[in-house]
Amino acid sequence: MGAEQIPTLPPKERLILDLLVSQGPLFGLQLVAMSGGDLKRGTVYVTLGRLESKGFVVSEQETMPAGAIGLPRRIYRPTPLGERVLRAWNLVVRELVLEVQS
Amino acid sequence: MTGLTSHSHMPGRVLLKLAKAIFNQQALETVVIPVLADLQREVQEAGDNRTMGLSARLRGYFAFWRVVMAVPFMIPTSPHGSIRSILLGKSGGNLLVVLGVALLAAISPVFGWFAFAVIAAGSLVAIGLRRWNDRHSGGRGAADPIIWAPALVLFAAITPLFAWFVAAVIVSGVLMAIVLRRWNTRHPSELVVTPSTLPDARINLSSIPVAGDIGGLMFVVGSFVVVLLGLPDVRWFVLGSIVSGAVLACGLFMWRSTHTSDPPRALSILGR
Repeated sequence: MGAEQIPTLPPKERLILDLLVSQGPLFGLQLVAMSGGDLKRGTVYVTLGRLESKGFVVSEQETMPAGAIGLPRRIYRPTPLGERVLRAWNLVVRELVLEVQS
Repeated sequence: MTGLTSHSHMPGRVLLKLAKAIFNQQALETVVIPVLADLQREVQEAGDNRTMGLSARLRGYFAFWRVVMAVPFMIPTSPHGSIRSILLGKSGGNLLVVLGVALLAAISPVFGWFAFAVIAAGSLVAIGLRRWNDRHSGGRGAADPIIWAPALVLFAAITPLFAWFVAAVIVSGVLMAIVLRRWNTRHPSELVVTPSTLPDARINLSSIPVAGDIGGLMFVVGSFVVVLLGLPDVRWFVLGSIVSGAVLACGLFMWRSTHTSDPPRALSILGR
């Protein structure tokens, strides 16, 4: 596998994947609220869109109850690939930390 | 739970229409609509509490404009990422619109109403030109009063601010146009044709082909003259730049002629 094909996981993408894996499917605003200020509502969807294009998360429109008004929100959940990448990334980070500390 | 009872009362409807005009479907679905959906949901949840409703609206509008500014730079514009699709396409957002708004916001504190007046005048000129062009296809081009008259009005409007600099720009611009036109009539140049086998152009100035003909030389000299007329205090810096640029060019030319297998291309200015 070439270096350019190794999946990368920037901090914000890792945080989102972490929250989705630990909390289950979430809306964008819920992710913002749970991030403790690390995610902004103006850009969280850009990051989610990037994760979706990488195949790490999937989204679907919420089902609006009859008579409801307004635009439907999107709910996001991690894919098996996203979960594997997160596990691998966490493992690499842990190994690196141990390596640096030793 | 809510004081909103119909679609017509939902906030963000106008913003959605605006977004549909400047963003493509991908950006709309993945980024813009979710932001507006959050805005509407929070306003609904605020119910009749005006303070919470106002706060939700402010947060939502701020998030929307933040997205408008961010999307053109963060969403891939096309598989090839061509410059044209970035600048003019709806894929990823119309960067020109966004940059125009940003530029207006940036210069407004300095130029105040003058900036808005120029934009209004420019918009009117654009509309007038478009209408004229629709009705009179095959007109007389730049010689037509509808083209030069608004330009003259704009120059007259900015004359009190920039004084003689405006007159100098007009005179030098007209002279330069006449000289370029006469030269082009006598020495018609060939357009640069990019081979279709080359990859799409990226934002890389070093890869842009530049013709080193007499037209290019006149353009460069004209630019120097305009800068010197407008900013006489920097004349020594400009002259120093010319000298150091010429020395660097000569050095590069000599180095390439001795260190590369391909013979260097002759400078067309010198070759003619």
